[in-house]
Amino acid sequence: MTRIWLLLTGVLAIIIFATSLLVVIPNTMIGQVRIPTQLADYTAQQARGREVYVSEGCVYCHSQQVRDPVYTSDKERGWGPRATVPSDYVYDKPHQLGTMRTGPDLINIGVRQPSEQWHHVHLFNPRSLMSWSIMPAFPYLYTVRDSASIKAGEVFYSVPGGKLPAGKVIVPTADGDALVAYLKSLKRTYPVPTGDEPAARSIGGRSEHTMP
Amino acid sequence: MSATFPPSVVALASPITDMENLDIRLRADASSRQVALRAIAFSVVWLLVGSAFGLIASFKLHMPDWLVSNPALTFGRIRSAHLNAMAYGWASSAMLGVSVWIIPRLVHTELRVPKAAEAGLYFWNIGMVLGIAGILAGYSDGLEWLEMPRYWADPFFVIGGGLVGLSLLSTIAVREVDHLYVSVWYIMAAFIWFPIIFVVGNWPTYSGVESAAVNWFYAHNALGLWLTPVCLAAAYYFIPKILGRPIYSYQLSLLGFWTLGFFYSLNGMHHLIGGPLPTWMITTSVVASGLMIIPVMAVGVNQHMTLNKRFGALRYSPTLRFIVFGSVAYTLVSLQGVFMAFREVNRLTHFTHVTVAHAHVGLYSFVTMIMFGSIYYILPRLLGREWVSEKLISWHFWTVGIGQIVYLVPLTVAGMFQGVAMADATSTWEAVVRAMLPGLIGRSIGGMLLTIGHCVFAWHVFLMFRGGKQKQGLRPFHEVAPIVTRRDKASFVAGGVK
Amino acid sequence: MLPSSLTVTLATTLLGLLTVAVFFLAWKRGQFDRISQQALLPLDDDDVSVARPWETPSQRAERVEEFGPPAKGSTPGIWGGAQ
Repeated sequence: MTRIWLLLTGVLAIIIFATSLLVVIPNTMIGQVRIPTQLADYTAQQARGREVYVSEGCVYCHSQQVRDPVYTSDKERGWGPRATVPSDYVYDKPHQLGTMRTGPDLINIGVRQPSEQWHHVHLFNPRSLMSWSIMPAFPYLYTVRDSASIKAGEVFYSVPGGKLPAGKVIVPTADGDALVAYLKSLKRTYPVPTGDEPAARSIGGRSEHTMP
Repeated sequence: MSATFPPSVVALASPITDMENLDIRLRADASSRQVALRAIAFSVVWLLVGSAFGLIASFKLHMPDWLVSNPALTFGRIRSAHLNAMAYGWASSAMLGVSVWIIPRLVHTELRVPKAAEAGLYFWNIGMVLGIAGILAGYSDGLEWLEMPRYWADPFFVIGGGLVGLSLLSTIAVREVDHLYVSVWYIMAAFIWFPIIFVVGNWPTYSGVESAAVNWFYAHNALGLWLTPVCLAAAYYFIPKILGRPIYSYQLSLLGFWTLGFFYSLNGMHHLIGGPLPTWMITTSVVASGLMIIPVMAVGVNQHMTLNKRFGALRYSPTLRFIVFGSVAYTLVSLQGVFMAFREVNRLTHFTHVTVAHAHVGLYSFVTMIMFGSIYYILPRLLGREWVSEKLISWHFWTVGIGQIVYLVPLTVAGMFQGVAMADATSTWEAVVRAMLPGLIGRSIGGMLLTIGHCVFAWHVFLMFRGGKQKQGLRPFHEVAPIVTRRDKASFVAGGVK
Repeated sequence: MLPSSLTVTLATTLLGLLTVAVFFLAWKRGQFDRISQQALLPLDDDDVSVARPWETPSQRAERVEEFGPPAKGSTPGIWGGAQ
């Protein structure tokens, strides 16, 4: 009889201890994470783009973190001017830090690659720009149209590399535009918050403080 | 509530008598039969589904323009579907079946509330279908190992797992043994730990780096506090059972159990080394990862010493072949993991295919092989007939055995090249990708071999369930003839072991 | 979740002490005596008293010494039938 109680209390103690250490205590410390004044919350379109990013599983090949330059070459590679800090992720729900780099890190892709055209063509088929790329193509984020059918004011892109028949162009769907808007918003190059900024709230993740 | 003491203390000193234990075994098996058989059947279906997803994902990495027009087949979704189908569909269903079969045998009484366990199994599998469909349709929750939609798929797992746990705990509560064998500890602990971590992991309020910490707190504990304990429980049961001798050191097994729980549960942050988390959290996990040496060596020493000088048994027992393979893999994957948690190694292996290969050593070479071995032992006893063909077992073992090597070695090498290229800031991304490509193709070949092995296994399981043209009068537990070598032939008549 | 880490610290300390207390209780009640005998729990009579085909003669002798003579006869195809 006593063995059962030993087992039960021990098993529960273990998990409660681990949860306290790795979940609860960090949760209480989240109040110390400052919201950077230079970081705005995602706009509606960028937020939708982030949903597309999550839904397509981009995280399985791309990370969103710059590691300490002292012991890794992330910074040297040009992925960011500094290591990323918790404040950089206050608006990210869920996180997309990633554990795989089949492709490059993306936390500062908005700085490295601000061209919408590049992103759209790349997403439509990565091999139109880089023959060696193994990234999936996302043709369903685009509508293929005859170039003749494009009306004034419509945004369209032509695709090099023989990935589209002659006379055809691509027009992004709303999700395609949203995804690119999200990617362009990925910039974490401002200096680390000093501590005077408002604190991030833990429950709900969003703070009342948003920049226009 | 507690068990009555055995008729005499002497009963502990010697195994119980023939008639009693046969009766107990038959009653235990009869009570768990319905649930265990269905759990195993479900698990084999998910094994095939998961293998298909895995193959598609693997091919897409070196044939990236294949099947791109349908969003349900995009790499990011198929890869998640593969992980979830294998971890929660194949492995967990098999583990549910093995658990409900082993517990009654070890507490010497029938499975209680078996209808709850059966209902739990159905809930679990409904959750699986909804979860996989949700991922493929694009409704992933976005967290690795937690992709299945938390509001309309995950509750099925909480309910399902809870019902099976209820049945198991009720059975243990009315046990007819005076002591709990170590496998019972592991299984009980797993069924208590899993719902807690699952709920904590899926809780919807986290964001930012906190969400990352909770994500990997959950995911690593799904490995260490759910998958590992049940598979160790199986190994601790089948190895002594087939060899006919007790575990080398029971004290060591208890030490192994408690240190496993205490250290494993703190490992989660080693998936985020170098990342934007407080250093104390990451250091805690690195230290805890290093301390994992203790439970791993405890298990390794115990199993090796029990098997010592009796490795000949592997020629006779297919179950033991798979389970010993799995146990050795457990030691290796854990040592590999300890190694990879050290920052200097992690600097090169993080974000590479080395991690993916490591995950498969754990989930395949350890978990899956042990589940194969367990199913090879359990099905004849529940169906009352012997496996149909020793050849099929042999083909299964060798295709997946070789398949694993073809999978893991190229993939690890690919990951190492990838890591070294990534660490060199002057190398282009093209160089990084080209470095990993040959290994990715090797991995696809390995994956195909594994899938062939799974098809062989599934076919054999199907033949077993179907029964049919069995020789009449074949008793249950009639052993398959062993692999007789030329040396043995003269001295060996017939007979063998499952 | 609990907002105060003092509460958490106290709760986990209490739980830990409870576990240690239960451990000592179990020890005093003799739950850890004869611990090696508990390793025999999964083994039934026909697991231990029957010779295995892969065992050497000395291992078979060991088995007879520890668990008694084989319960089953030497019928080929059944446990213990190995020569």
